[in-house]
Amino acid sequence: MTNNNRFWQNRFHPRNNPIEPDYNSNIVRLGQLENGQKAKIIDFQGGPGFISRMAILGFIPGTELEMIQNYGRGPIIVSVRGTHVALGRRESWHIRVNKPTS
Amino acid sequence: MGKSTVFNMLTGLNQHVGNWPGKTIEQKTGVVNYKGYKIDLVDLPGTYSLTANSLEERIARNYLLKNRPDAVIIILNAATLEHSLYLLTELINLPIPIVVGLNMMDVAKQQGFQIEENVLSAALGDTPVIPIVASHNQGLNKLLDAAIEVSQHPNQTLSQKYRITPSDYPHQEIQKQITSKIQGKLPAIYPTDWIALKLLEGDSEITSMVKESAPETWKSIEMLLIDHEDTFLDIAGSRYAWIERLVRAAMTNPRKGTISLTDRLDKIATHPFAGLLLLIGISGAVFWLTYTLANPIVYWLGNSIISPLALWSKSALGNAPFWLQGLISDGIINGAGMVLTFLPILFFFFAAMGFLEDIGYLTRAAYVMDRFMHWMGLHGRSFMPLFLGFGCNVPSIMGTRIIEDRRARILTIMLSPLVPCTGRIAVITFLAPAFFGKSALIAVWGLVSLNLVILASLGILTNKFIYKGKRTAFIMEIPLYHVPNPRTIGLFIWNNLVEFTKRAGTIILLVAIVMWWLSNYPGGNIENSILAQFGHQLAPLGHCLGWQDWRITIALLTSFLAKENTISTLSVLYKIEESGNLAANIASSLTMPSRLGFLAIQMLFIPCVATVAAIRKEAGTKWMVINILLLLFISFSAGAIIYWGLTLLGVK
Repeated sequence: MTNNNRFWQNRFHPRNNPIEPDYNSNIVRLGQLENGQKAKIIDFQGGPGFISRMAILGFIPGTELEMIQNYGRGPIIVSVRGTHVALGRRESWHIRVNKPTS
Repeated sequence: MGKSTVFNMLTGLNQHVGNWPGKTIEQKTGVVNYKGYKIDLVDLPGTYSLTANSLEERIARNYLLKNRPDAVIIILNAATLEHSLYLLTELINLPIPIVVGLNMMDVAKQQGFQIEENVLSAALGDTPVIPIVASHNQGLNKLLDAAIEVSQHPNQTLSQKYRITPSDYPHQEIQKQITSKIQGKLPAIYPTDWIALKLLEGDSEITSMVKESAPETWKSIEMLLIDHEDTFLDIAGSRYAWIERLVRAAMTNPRKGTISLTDRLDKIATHPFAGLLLLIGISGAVFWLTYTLANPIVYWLGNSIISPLALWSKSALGNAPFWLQGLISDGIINGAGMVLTFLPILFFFFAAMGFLEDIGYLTRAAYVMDRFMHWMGLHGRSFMPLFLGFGCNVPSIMGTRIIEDRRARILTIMLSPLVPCTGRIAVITFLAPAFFGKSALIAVWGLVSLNLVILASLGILTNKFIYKGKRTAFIMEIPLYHVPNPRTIGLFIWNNLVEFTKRAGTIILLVAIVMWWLSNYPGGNIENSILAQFGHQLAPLGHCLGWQDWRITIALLTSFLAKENTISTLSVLYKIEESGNLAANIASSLTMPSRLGFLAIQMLFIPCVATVAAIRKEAGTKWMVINILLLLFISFSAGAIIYWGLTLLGVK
């Protein structure tokens, strides 16, 4: 379990993500939001299939999301356009959002 | 959302469950007789869009385009209005009259917001919008009235509808260019501007279709598409922008930050630890309830109906020839009839599952199990079909269609026969008391756990060595909890029981008859029968596993046709007499290690023929063969290890 989780964090943590390093900026990953925090989507990092499925569910750059449940491991639940949607931990790292102010 | 409830409410038992032609996805059709009209209803697969991301979406849109129904009823969920409106924005681009059913208006009121259907209707070009509460049968007649109305004036409704196409997305110009390029080059059933839109959305199915139908212009279209690769987000974005405007106009008192009942329940139900405990508790309760409620009925059916009926038929047919008497009493009534006594188990299990599904709990269970399913390279969605497998593996394999990714789907299909179905659990609970006495319950739990441990290990190994840790996206909407609808649950139970009874009436009956014949001919007794000779041929196999009695081997083999056959075959072969107890008779011919070994093999053996057929349909012949060989290997290894292990340890 822990090993598995470490694997996630190493591979998909923004610090180690080879796609586009984005530390020191106002961008965070969706999976970094804490319960109750709100943020707007900036972009996705993933294939067209992933982006298409997210967009159909209303995840579009500029859309505001609210983190409903994030225990730091396992899947998360976000509220998007009035509906709760569960996302895997990895999916939550593939969505970049602006850093919430609160 | 609520679509199935509407369909069930309207059609009731006048529905037919089949498959979409050439597809494995369930197709429900039904007939409604209403005000002198005979309306054919087709329940299209539930989807979020009409883009070819999944098989359901392809089926839904191909049906709409090819069959051109007289009208489409789309059910919007008032509680999650924006999401359900997305499908509507796609539908209004198709030349088919639409009627909108606005469901869960009661929930909307509870949450303190209201939706003005007149505003929605006006914004949709006077498309009828009917508020309904599907679970209470409210507004469904009006829905039918509206559907009849629009189907009779298709041209009028269509021209109105087209006025409101949300086409203000920034790539309208390119869409026009593509439209002019493909004009007249594609099958007439496809509206050209719709094709252009789907090309811009990157729809794989439409792209390859255009490539084939218009090869000469494809190059120039492709150039345009490459230049506008990012169009998909724009199109989806403009649809949602349109939806937002619509919702802002039609919704009064939009929801505030109130904590709903769903949120409060989910504090526990989706909590990583509490949710897991709850899931374990609920599963335990389901099995406890199922077997506590069903077992007395099963015994009663067996002892007070089937056995007396067999005896009665024997005496009633006293003058009939030997073969007729034996066939009816031993073959049909005791063989196939005994299997029907399992129906109460299935009834209670499917009632519990139907209830959990209908209130929305199974989604939470999937969410909680996601972390554990990741060990096997699967995600939460695979949990739901696997859980259903405790009832019967066939709906479980059919149920894997909710997993979008083929790799994950195949793995779930390969693992699902390892979930012990009621058939197998019935066999071991039938034999365990005589086999193990007071430790029967421990043995049953041990055998069920063995299956689950093997399932998990196989999944983890596959993930590690074959799929090498590849994972698939887990994206799942979490619906609001809602009050269960007895009719939906009732139909879920009914459809599953009908399937089971059909099998008992066909394949199991056939096996019972063949078994009876093989075990009585030539000569009229078992000792000299064809079956006995075949059984003796297989004796060396049985010896390796510790059973000297060839009848056990035959019983195991017939479980390939249906797991419950083990019991019916044994009862035919051991010829239950009035005095003797079948399970006790069998127990006396086996030592303790071989009893456990036999039951372990029984639990892990090749799936029944119905399951094998389902695997072949869903995953193809290759995977079916692999699955059979794999389970053959696993079951015999496990049986041999248990038998020899216990024997070497000196267990008697």
